Amino acid sequence: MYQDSRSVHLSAPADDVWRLVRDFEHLDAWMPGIDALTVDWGGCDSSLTRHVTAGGQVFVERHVATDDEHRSVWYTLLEPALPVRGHMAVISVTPNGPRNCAVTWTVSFSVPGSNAADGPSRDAIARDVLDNMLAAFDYGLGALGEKFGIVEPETIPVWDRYPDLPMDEDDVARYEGWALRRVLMPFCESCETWHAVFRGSCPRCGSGEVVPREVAGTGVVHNAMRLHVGPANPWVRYPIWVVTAQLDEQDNLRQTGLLVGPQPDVAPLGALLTTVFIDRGGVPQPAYTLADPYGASQ
Amino acid sequence: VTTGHPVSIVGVGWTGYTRESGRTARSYAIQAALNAIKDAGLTPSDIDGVVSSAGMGSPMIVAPGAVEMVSALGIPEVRWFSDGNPVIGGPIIDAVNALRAGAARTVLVFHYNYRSPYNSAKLASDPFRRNIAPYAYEPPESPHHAAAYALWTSRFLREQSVTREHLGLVAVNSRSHAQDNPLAAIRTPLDIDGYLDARQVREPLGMYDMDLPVDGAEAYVLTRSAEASAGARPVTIDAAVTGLVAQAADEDQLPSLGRHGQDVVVTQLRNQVDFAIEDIDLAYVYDGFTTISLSWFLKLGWSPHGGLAGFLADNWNKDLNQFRLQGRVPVNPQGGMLSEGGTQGAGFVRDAVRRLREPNPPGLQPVTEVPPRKALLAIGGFFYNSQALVLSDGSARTREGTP
Repeated sequence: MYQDSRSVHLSAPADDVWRLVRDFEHLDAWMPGIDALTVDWGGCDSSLTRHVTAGGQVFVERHVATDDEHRSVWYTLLEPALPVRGHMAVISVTPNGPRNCAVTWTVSFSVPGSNAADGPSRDAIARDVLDNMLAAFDYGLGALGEKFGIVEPETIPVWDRYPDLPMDEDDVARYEGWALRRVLMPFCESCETWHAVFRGSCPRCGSGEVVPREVAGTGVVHNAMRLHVGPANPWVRYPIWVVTAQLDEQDNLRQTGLLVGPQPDVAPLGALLTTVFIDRGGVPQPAYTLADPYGASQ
Repeated sequence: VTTGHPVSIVGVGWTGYTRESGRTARSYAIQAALNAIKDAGLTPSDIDGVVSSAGMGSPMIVAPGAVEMVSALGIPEVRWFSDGNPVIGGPIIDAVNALRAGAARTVLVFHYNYRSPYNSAKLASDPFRRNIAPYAYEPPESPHHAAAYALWTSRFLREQSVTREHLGLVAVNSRSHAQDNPLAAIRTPLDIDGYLDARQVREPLGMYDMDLPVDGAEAYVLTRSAEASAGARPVTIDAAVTGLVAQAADEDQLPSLGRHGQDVVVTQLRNQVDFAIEDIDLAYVYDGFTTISLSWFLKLGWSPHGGLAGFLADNWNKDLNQFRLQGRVPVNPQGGMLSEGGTQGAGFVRDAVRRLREPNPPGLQPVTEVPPRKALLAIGGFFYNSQALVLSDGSARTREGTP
């Protein structure tokens, strides 16, 4: 199985782009270089098929599925002139906040035969096919970029990238850290003390010189609870441990998070842990994992 | 309350608690308030101060607050009103302070509970409650609010060398008392095996370690003791204290279990009243989470540090399935937060007032050999709601002390 993808980051709401991209019958509304496009409801299952003529070739593509919730459309190449099997392509539009989105075009397929000594290897054939397909993807995504405007994702403010997170002016740096997969915590430059919560002021000395600074993310488990029930989340499977980490930087500097990876049998108080970032609905968020999971449960 | 005018509770009103009501919080609160005013021998127009427990954005709290209550009761005018801490010691302390300062002369304090999807999953489909969403963003790993107690219990169990069997005594004690209380929401028997078999929720805390979401209300009328009317049966507030430490809003940052809100409360209490087990007749020890009760036993100086397991064993009455401290003092005789209902201490106050003001209150099972004269109410947990009240029949002498 071979797979690859191309993406473009657009400065347009995901729904605006999706409205255009989801329309399987009118690929030529945004994809340049199409000389002719016809559709029919062929096949024994009456599926939608489009015949795309471009560059003197005809591509017959059958619609597989459209998922409006996840803004994704799947199709497969029929009767391919190319030496591939099990072709599947998907175009997905994912929001990057309310005003920006990313379009990702992914293809996967297999190549029949073997890597025989005589003739080109399967890998070489696949690379050749992929290069052609990805060039076409770039062509189409480039056209979307011209239409909607391209944006560098790093330049999108975190409140636009993660509009559901409860940030405010005091703690926005915490989430900017998340975007870079770094744990930033407030550090008072005046009395050189770490704090756990961004409040814009140092509770120890009253100074306003509190800046975000990266912590190593290593420490020991101070407290722990195992959640047996909780709100349904795609990234949480109950039961799961939640741990309060005593961080190495300073006494009584703590953070609480999910414990991912191997789950101990008993509360792992005192066990060494380290920070990992997990994807939660498109948001990278810190969690913990035990440095010695099997030792900790003994 | 060693300085200033003594304050008394001169009226109490209640509704009882249920987990199956088709009524609003408002209707319960109004019913309790009217009962309390009537119990005090007054009418709504006698009230000139009102304080609710609807402040601080509590998830249990929906309408009404103090302002709506004034309208609902048709009180012509009040001179002082406020919405206080959802845990009952808070608004009572507010009322005591208002009375001592002269801001009001006759204060109505009310508290109500209303189940919502936050604390009772089945209400997610209740047409009148499904849209109550107290916390906009609460990820599963939040260390705040209730979850803080599960996290800190892991450490408490280790430091005090106790187990879930010890936590379970708190739950069994409360249920045993609730069986005799017609106001309680759950009155079916519970033994230690039933406790241990219950499903875990936030391990090490299970279903019976967490207070019971209920519907119902309580209300009290307070005046200066000197102004209690001739016909009233006042119960004196000998002490009413609260307090918190720097990490109260950041529960996981508490340096240790060695100093938190309960310690701040006990320090103040020591300056005001005697509250050793031999000094009191009734103990109300907050069981919003079982861990909180065990912590109070230590903080109040009743159990030696490191000797909690022995203290619990020594003070457990196997025949009753209840605590009897020093063989005499019952704990949570109305059924606690775990079985009467999670009322943030409001049920404690009602029960203490009723037992202290007359020898054999109708409908109440006696829990002491002789009529009780003094009750200690240790209310709330470690953070924003650590409180204590000492109530007496007025005959007990408070110590001269310094605030």
